[in-house]
Amino acid sequence: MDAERIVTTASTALADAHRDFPATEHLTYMDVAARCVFPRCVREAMDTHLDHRMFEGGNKPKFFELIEETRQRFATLVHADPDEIAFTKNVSEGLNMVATGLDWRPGDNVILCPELEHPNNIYPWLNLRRLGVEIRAVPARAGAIPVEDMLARADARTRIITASSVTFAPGFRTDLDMLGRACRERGILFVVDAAQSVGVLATDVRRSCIDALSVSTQKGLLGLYGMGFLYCRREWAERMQPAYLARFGVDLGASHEAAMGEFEFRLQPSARRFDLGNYNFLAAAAANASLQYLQKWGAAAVEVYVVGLAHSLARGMLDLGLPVCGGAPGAHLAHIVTVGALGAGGHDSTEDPRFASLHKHLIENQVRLSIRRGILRFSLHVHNTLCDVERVLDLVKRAP
Amino acid sequence: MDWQTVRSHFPVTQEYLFFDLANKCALPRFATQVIQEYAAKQERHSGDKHEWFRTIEEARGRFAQLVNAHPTEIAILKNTSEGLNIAANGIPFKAGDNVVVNLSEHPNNIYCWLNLQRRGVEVRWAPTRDGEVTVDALAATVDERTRALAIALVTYAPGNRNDVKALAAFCRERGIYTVVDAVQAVGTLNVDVVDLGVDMLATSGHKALFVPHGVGLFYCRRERLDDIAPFYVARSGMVTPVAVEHDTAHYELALAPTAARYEIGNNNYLGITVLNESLKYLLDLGMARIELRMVELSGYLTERLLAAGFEVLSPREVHRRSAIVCVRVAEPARVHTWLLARKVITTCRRDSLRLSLGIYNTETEIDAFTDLLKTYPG
Repeated sequence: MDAERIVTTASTALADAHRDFPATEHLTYMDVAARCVFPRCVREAMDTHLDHRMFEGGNKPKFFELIEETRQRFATLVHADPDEIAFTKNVSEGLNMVATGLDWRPGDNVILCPELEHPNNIYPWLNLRRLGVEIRAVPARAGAIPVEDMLARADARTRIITASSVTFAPGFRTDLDMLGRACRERGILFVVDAAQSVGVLATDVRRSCIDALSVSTQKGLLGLYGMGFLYCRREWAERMQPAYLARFGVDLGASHEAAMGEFEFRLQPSARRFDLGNYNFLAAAAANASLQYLQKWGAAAVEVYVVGLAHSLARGMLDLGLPVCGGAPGAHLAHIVTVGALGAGGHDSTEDPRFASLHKHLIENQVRLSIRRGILRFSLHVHNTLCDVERVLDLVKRAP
Repeated sequence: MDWQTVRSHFPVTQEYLFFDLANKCALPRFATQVIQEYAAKQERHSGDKHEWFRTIEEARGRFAQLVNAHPTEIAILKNTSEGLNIAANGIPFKAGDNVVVNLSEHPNNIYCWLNLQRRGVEVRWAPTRDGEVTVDALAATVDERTRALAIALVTYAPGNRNDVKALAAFCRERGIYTVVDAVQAVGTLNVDVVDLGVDMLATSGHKALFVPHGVGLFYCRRERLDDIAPFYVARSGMVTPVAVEHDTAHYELALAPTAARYEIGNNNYLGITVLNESLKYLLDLGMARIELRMVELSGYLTERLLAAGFEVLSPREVHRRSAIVCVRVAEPARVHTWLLARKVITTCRRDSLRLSLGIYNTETEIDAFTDLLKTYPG
């Protein structure tokens, strides 16, 4: 579809969202795949929380209300039930909770595409080898997670298939609906690393048949480092035994937070059993505000708007003769546009002098982007505009 | 720096009698300032990860200094529970082994051990008296299958100190791991892991370290690091340079030889930035001096309560005392609410009213409090 048309059919109001982000006054920020810049409402929510903590000590019952409100908002965003949401500190913690929560037997297997997964969605699975679990690595296909190849490797002992919703590089989408449906039919637990997508792309765990999804708040959710969410579908969560357990994971009815229950304890319903110790209330205050902010726009409108911008950027780069990963914009394209040859360089550098110099030129002109695996990565969110896209394309055109 | 100056750094003291540090801190101004600076950076340009990495190592070093450990023995986590669960899952228990806990522990130092029952680990309960587990009580509880002792350095109620040094010595002779919940001690008492001789210690930032919730600290004695395998793993717990923003097509578990092996994923950089400031503040004051002040204040509060005819449940001996004083009142919840309406912040714990002191409290506040409590109409 024509990029401009996608943008115009989306809510035109989103073109003004950049006004809510102070960073856009002096930066062309295209690096949300690394971490966000805050909208004003997040700073304000943090300030209110901090003033309360500094002048009045902090009202813990109110803090717990904040937690439940935030849990509810996230559940709404991904179309889950609040009981299916646990608070974590980051993506890794959520993935480890799932990986260690099952009753593994030697000979079970896990299928993933290590070439394209973030290391933090690899190590928790490798760690299962000590239990005799086989890790089935499936090669990537043209920079994409190969859904059909993964399914072809599945057998009766496959317990988990895991994939990123959008890879950190080259940033392509995975067909979650197809993978999820196939996993559901075969009784395989489908685990999604959604670090790169939630908050930007619409997420529907029901429609995509996702069983577990882990995300942190510092990227698309426009919040702080140090907090994340784990969605775990009720039917799976209630069969899981959390390896790490603390008071909030135990069902004590309505008793006090420091109260002690029976020695024979009952786990909290659903994913709440994974809640561990005190919450990061400040980060929850930030996430609650940003979730409310995103809710205001609506997940579908945000996706259409931001992906539309990515289409314009990718098309423009191709027109300038640059090697855009994935070629012409299509179903693979999310909110991340990458340029260069994947793997040409280290994690955050590139060996190609042309791209190194382009990167330098953009940074010097107040564009913010990343280099991942040797390629330039532009990642977009609601604070970006068609003007940003044009500005970047213009800078690329006139680059030395 | 005198105590009056310290007090001026805590705005909560302007309006409240804040006796609730054992629950959570009221943030000092230096903490909120650091947070403002951090938030302003993330708002304007998303912040600088290299700066945060430097801050983490500085904070790790300062915490190590605070508890007399080596930086390689310190992991920075999200809370005390995470540390205790790392210990529970990392100790190489076999079915039929047992762990000793006691009924004075916080639930978060109980459930992580009860959770091992499904692996055939027995949970044994050491008897306590006034909150304390003595060496004799421990000796009567252990057997040759005892692998670990989990114990609080200071109980959350009634706030007594356990003689962890003696308990750890007993355990070491028998090859029993000593795991300490130090959350009610670190920042108010001078904790020295070498002197105590413990194997693992967990604590949080949100009490006497003056950090917003979301930072935990975990100590594992160097000689034990190899025995205690991390149960959760991520890139950050691998050997450098793999640990730092590195990726490859070929992955193998290559655990860091240091306590960083217990760290998973992105950290709470904001919380750690505050921690780094708080630790500097506490180290400048000196933990020995802080401990003296804390037991002086808790002694004074105890005296005043006793003189007013109240029953104090916390120990009176200076070596068993902490910064926590629990007092028996009828209907603690009502007293707590009544006090809160009069701008006194306390907590109810285990059918008592818990008063917990910090470096900003004064004798004058304690006088005002005891005079007020006497007028409670119940």
